Amino acid sequence: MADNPQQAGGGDAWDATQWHVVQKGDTLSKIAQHYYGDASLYPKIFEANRDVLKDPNLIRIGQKLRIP
Amino acid sequence: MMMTDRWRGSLICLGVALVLSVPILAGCASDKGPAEAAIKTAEEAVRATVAEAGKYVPDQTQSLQAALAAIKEKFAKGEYTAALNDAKSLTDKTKEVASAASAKKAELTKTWEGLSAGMPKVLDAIKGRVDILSKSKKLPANLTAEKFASAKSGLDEMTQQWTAATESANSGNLMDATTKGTAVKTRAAEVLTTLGMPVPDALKS
Repeated sequence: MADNPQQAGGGDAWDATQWHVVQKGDTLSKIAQHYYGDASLYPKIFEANRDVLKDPNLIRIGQKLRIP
Repeated sequence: MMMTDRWRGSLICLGVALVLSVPILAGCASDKGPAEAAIKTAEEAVRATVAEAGKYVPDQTQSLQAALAAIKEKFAKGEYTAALNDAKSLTDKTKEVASAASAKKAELTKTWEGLSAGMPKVLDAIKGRVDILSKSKKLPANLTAEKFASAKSGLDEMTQQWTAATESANSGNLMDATTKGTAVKTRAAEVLTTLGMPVPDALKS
């Protein structure tokens, strides 16, 4: 998985939030594997993005996900 | 006859010297009262300034106290004119130090306000990631077990130091609070980098 834009968002100079922009072939498990080294931790990402995700199996290309 | 003339000449010289020295001595003695008053004024100004200014410009307040001691020494030696002039200068210098302290206080207040608004968010982000990685069966690429252990101990140190910084700020010691807070900021940037997380702009300056 290629590295994603990881800059802080929202114009807050103190914001340390890490973001991942969903790319073709991404799943929450793959994203969890990339950032945490463990695919089984995908629920952490799902929970952190409940405002934009209804189902952990449904993510869209270009979607911006918060990586806690 | 020759001796008499010499004797007369010496007496005249002595008389002239005495006549000339009287106004000088009188002038010095006349400065005693004003010098005493000026020292008292300077002493009060220094005392009123040192307590607060000492928190922000300690070197300058120490200089004020040293200068006051030197003036008192001059007065004790009878150097009233010098003591008077120095005491007046010290009163002016005290105002400058008070002004410098006020500016430093404003600067530290601004720095602390920024730190106290931003650092808790950064520490929360680090803690969140450390907690998740602690549950991970395997660490991500580029994060060795040693690096992760270092990040975890870094988080503990930062948490303790941040608590100490906040306590210093709450007790009015902004100098200590900003020193500790800035150290936490520097360490946080290192830990974020170790964890592969983005470093916020505020931590880069």
